[in-house]
Amino acid sequence: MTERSVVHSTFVIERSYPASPAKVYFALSNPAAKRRWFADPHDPVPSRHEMDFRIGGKEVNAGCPSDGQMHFFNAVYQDIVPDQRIVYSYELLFGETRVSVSLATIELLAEGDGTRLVMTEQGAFLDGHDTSATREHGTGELLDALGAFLREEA
Amino acid sequence: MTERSVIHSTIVLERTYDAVPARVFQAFADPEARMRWGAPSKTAELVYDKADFRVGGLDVSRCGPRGSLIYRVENRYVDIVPEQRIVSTELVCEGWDRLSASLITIELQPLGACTRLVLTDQIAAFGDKDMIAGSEAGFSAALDNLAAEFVPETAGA
Repeated sequence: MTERSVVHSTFVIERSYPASPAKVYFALSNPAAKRRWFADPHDPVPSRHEMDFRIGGKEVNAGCPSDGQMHFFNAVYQDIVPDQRIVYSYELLFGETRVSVSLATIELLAEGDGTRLVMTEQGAFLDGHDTSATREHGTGELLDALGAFLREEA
Repeated sequence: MTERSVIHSTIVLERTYDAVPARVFQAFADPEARMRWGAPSKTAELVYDKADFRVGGLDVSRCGPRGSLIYRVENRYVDIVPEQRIVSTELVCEGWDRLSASLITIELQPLGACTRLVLTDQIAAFGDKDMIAGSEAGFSAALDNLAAEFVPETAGA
């Protein structure tokens, strides 16, 4: 029997981007744009990406990185305020094992000609399969990839 | 510069119940039971329009002062381990306004013949209403009411 445990945590990551909130929002909400930066650096071409960007809509990003099992990111959009705020919950599965459940809040704040993005992630990490520190690191890399995408588009 | 508009908080509530984890788990799984103990007070009411207690299932309920059920709650079950754990997301709305989104974990542990319950509500609150204080008061009262589900029937006779 698996030893059950839950570790709760919250982390906040901030980034400043040289693009307007409308452009950052587009990169987060348009499926074709999001596909260009929202990828596992170890598995850049996911086998499946589906995104229904509306409240109650779902997003699935499935891929098979180096550990040889499928990883699933399954999200549900909880709140959307165009150009300002996106809130979604998501679970992460490694194979059939649920590793974590999280509530992510992305806030976009105008900062001069650019945007300050504040991402708050409240997570429940299940049965010791993953840690908040690892997730914070990976999320930071994704937000850096978003920044690189925005600079390419500028 | 625009202002931030979301307040985040983590609420942790702990209770010990005079019942084994299987009975406490059943009080969460059964929507009829939840309607009994889930309303925070006798002047409040909780009605389930839809209940689907399974991973991926969605509950839709309305609650508020009796006769004025102004809040709509959507609860999606994400992880269920029988007698041990329930993880769900909860969205609270009033009309077209979304007031808060939460990630709620309920953990049950046997403690002799009793059960230790820990509820963790990781909440993101939007707008002006104090949803953090409101959620804490609501869950706290409901968990107090839950104890009454486990009082032996003869005790009240």
